[in-house]
Amino acid sequence: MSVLKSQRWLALVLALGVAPHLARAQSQPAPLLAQSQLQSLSQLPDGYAGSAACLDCHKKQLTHFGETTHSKVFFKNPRTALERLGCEACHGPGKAHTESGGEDRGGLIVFNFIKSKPSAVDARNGVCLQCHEKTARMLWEGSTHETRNVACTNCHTLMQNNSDRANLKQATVRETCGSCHAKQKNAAMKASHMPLGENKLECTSCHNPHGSANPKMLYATTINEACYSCHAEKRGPFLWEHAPVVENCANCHDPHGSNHEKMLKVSRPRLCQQCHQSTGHPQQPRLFVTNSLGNLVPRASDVQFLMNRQCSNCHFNIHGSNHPSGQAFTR
Amino acid sequence: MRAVAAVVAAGVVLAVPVAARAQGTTATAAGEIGIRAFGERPPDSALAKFIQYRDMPSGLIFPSLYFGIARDSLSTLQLFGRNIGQKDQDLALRGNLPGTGDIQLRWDRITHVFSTNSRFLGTETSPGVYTLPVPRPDTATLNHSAYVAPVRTQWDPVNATITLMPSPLWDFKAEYQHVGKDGYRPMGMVFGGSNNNAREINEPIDQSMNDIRISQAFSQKRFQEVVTYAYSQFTNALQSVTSDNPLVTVDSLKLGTSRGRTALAPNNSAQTLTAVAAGSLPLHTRVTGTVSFGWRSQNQAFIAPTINTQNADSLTRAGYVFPTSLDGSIHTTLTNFTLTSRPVRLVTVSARYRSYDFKDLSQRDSIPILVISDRTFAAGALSEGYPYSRDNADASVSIRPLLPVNVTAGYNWDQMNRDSTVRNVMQVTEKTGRVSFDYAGSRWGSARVSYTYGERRGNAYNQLTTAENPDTRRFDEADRNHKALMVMLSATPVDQVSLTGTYQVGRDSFPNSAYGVQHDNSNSIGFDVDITPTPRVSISGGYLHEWYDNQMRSLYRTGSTSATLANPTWNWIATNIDSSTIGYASFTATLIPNRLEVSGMWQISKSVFQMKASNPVTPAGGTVAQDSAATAMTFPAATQELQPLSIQMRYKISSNWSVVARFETEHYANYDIRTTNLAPATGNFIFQGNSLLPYDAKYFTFLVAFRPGLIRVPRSAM
Repeated sequence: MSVLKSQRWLALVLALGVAPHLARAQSQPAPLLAQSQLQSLSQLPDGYAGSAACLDCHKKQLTHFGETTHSKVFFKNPRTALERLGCEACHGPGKAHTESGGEDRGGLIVFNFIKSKPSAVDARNGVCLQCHEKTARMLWEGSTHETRNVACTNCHTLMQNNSDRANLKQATVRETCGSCHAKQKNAAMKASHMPLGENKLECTSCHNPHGSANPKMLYATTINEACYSCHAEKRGPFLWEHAPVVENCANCHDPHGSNHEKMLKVSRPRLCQQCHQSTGHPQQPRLFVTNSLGNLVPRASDVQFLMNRQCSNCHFNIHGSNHPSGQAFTR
Repeated sequence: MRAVAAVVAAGVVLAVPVAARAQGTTATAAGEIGIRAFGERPPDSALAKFIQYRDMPSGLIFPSLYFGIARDSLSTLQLFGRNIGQKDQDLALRGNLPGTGDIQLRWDRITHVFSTNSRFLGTETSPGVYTLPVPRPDTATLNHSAYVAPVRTQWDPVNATITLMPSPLWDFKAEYQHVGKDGYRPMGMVFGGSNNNAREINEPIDQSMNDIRISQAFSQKRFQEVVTYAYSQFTNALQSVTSDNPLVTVDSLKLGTSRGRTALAPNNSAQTLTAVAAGSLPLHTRVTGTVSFGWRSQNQAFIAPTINTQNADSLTRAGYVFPTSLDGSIHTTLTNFTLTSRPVRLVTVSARYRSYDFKDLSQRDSIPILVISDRTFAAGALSEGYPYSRDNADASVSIRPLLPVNVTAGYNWDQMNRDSTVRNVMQVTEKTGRVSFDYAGSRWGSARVSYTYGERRGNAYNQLTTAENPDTRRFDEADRNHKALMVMLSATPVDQVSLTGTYQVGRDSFPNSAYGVQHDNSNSIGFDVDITPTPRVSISGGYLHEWYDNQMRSLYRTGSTSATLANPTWNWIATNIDSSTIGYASFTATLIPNRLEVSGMWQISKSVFQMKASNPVTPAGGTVAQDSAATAMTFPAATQELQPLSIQMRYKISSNWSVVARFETEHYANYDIRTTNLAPATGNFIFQGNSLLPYDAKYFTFLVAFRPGLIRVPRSAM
C-alpha cells in the first residue's frame, strides 16, 4: 500500500518537474496557413477572389479556423473543386466584396449577422448541404428542424472549435440542444435521470437532429429499438409479454428524466393502477395509518403495495418473463 | 490502479518533446493531475446519491489526459482520457485523416450505484443463489445486520469504429461495440400470493452485448443512398436467480416453499437491414425512401416451472408436459417515404407516409399449469404476443411571407392496429393539426411558437374477459384529446445581454374514459440569461419550473353480485402532482488577463411529488372490510433536493501551464415515506431497508494542468 502511495507522489513530482521543460517545448503559436496552401488566382471561377484576398482583412478569423477540421480539409486535403475554393466554398464568391473594399456584400452568404442582414436560412443551409447532404443528414429536408426554419449555424459554429466535436456552437451536445429544448436539458438534473450530466450519454445517442424516418427524430425505427440499443435484456421476445412494454417503453418511462424512480412518468402504484383497475388487488387505493408511536405507516396488508418498489416488489419481471410460471411477472 | 495510471501518464508526458523533434510531425500532450481532499465526506452509508453515476475518490486524481501526434498538421493520432483509473474512466484512441478516414476506439466506463445502506443477510453460495441459515434470522437480526457493500452495476462499453471515405462519393463505416455489465441490482422475490411473504434480493448482473454495424453510403449531387446492416447479440451468463424463503424452511405442496426461483433475461439476438435513398428532382423537390427489416429471436431453454420439490413432484405425477423454449421470433418492417418541394422560393410543402409492422411469429404454446411464486397452482394459460402495425401520414406547408419569418401548418394522421384477441381496442386513429411561427432573422432576437391539437379515437371497445370493468379505458388505447403550446422567445437587447424564455403547456384529456386516466397535464416556464458586462466577465443564470397533474378515476369492485360490483360509493380518484424546480447560476471573471481567472457555479434541483386520492362519496354499503378497501387517502409528499456549488481559481503559470484550486460543496436532502426509515423486516416482507440518505459534502481539488484546452473527447461510446 505504501509503495502505491509513493508511486502516486512520484508521478506527481515527475509531472511537476518536467513542467518548465515542456512549457518551452510546447508553447509555439499555431501557424497560419501558408500561402502555398491557397488556390492560385488562375484556377478560380469567375466572381471568386481566392482565399488569399480574404486573409487581407480576416486574418483574425483564420487564427482559430486553422485548428478546425474544415480548415484541414479545405486547405490541406481538398478533394473536390468546391473544397479547393477555401473560404469561398462556404461564403460564396467574394470578388465584388473584395474589390469594393468590403463595402459591397456581392454574392457572399452571411452566416453571422451581428453587423449585417443575414442570408436566408435556406441559403445558408444550402451551403452546408453542398457537402453534407449524405449519411446522417440525408433526411434533413422535410425534417422537423428544417420545416421550423432552423439553420445549421443555429447549432454549429464553423470558424472555431467550441466543442469536443462536431463544431457545435456550445461546448457539449446537451448544451447545444438545450438552448432550445430547455425542458429536456434540465430533465437530466431531475431526481431520476440517465447519466447525461456525467457525459456518458448524449442527446445524439438516441436522436438524429438532422432528421430521421422515425418518431422523435430517433436513429432507431421505434422508441423501443432505441432503448434496446443499451437495454438489450428487455428486447425479448418473452414467453409472457406485457403489452404496453412491447409497444412503447415511453408508455411508462420518461427517458429524459423524472421525479420518480426508474424515470417513471407517474409513481407506482398509481402508474400500474392506471390500467390494472378491473380486478384483484390493484383496484384498492391503499392506506397509510397512524401507529402507536404516532408515525404514519402502511396498513399491514398494504406494505407490499406501498413501500420500497411498490408493485415491483413482487412483479419484478414487469418487462417480460421467460419463466413457465411467470404470467404475472413475479417469476 | 490510479497510481499506475499516473506513472504511465507521466511517462507519456515526458516522451512528448522527444517525439516532437521528428521531421514534419508534431506531438502534443496535455493533461491534468491533482489531488482531491474532503473537508466533509458523506458517510459510506449515505454515498449512494453522491456516487450514483460517478467515482469520487480522494487523494491523487487524473481528471484528463491527451496525447496527440499530427503529421503535416493534417493526419492525427490522438489518445484522450478522463478520470483515469476510476470506475467512470473514459479512454479513447482516435486516428483521423480529414476527408479520408477515421478510426476510433473508445472505452467509457459507466458506474451505477443503487444503494450504500442495504442490509442483506445470507450467502451467495454460487452466482445467483442466495441461502439463509436454518433456523432463519429473526426480525431483530434482519433489522440490525451490517450494511453490505454498495449495490452497484458497472457497465464497460468498448466501441471500435472505422470510417473510410475513399472518395467524396463513397463512405464506408464499420462499428463494433461490446458492452459488459457486471454487478448487482435490487429485485424482489415473492414466495406466495399477494398476502404472503417476499424478500428483496439482488439480481446478479453478468451480461454482455455484442453489436456489429456496417454501413455503406453513396452520395452525388442529385442522389444519395445508405445501406446499413446491424447485428446485436445479448448474452446473460445467468438464467435464473434463487433465494431461500426467510420465513419457510420446508417445501410444502401448495402451502409454502423454502426457496424461490425467478427467470432472468434470456439470451436474444436481433438483426436489422436498412436502406435509405434520396433523390433531388426539379422545382427544388426531394424524395426520400426508407425501408428497414428487423428480425429478433430468442430461444433460451425454459427453467423448471417450480423449484418447490413438493409441487414439482406433483406436476410430474400428473404428467404435465411443458414447452421447452419459446422459439421466439419477431419480424418488423418499416417503410417511409418523404417528399419535400419548394415550387416557389418562399413556399415549402412536405408530405410523408410511414408504415411500421410488428409481427410476433413466436411459437406461443399453452402452459398447462402455473405454479404461482413456487407455491400455489393456477390454471394454465396461453402465451400471448402483441403484434401491431402503425401507419402515419403527414403533410405540411411552410410559407415565408418575409425572409426571416416562417409559418408552418401541418396535419398528421396516425393509425394503430392491434390484435383484437389480446387488446381491448383494435384500431386507434389520431388526427392532429399543428401550426408554428418562427422568426429568426434579427440580431435583436427570435421567436418560436407552436400549437398542436389532436384527437385520438378508437373503434369499438372489445371486452376480453368478464372480469374486466367495461367502462375502464387504458390510457394507451383510450380516446384522447391532446393540446400543446410552446413559446420560446430570445432577445439580445445589447450585445452584452442575451435572454431566452420558454413556456410550454400540454393538456391531454380522455373524454370517453369513465374509469382510467382522466387527464394528464404538463406545464413549464423558464428562462436563461447570459451577461457579458466586460470581455473579462461573463455571468449566466437559468430557471425552469415544471408541474404535472395526472388524474385517474377508479372503482373498487368486489363480491360476486351485481349490487356490490356496482356500488358507486367505491369510486376513488387519484391525482398525481409532480413539480420540479431547477435553477443555476455561473460566472467567470478574469482578474488578471492571461494570468488569473475565477469561476463559480451553483445549481439547485428540487422535486416534490404527491399522490393525492379521495372518494367523491364516503364508501358505504359494503362490509367494513370492503368499505375500508375502497377508502382513498392522500399520501405524504416525497421531496428531494440537490444543490452543488463550486468555486474555482485558475492561475496560468505560463501559456501552457496552469494550476487550479477548486472548492466544491454538495447538499442533498430526501424524504420519501416509502423508503425513508424503512425497516428491513416489515411485516412478512424482508426488504434491504435502503434509501437515499441525505448528505453534505465539501471537498477541495488542486490540479496542475498542462494545455487543458486541447482535451476534447469524442462522442460517447453508448
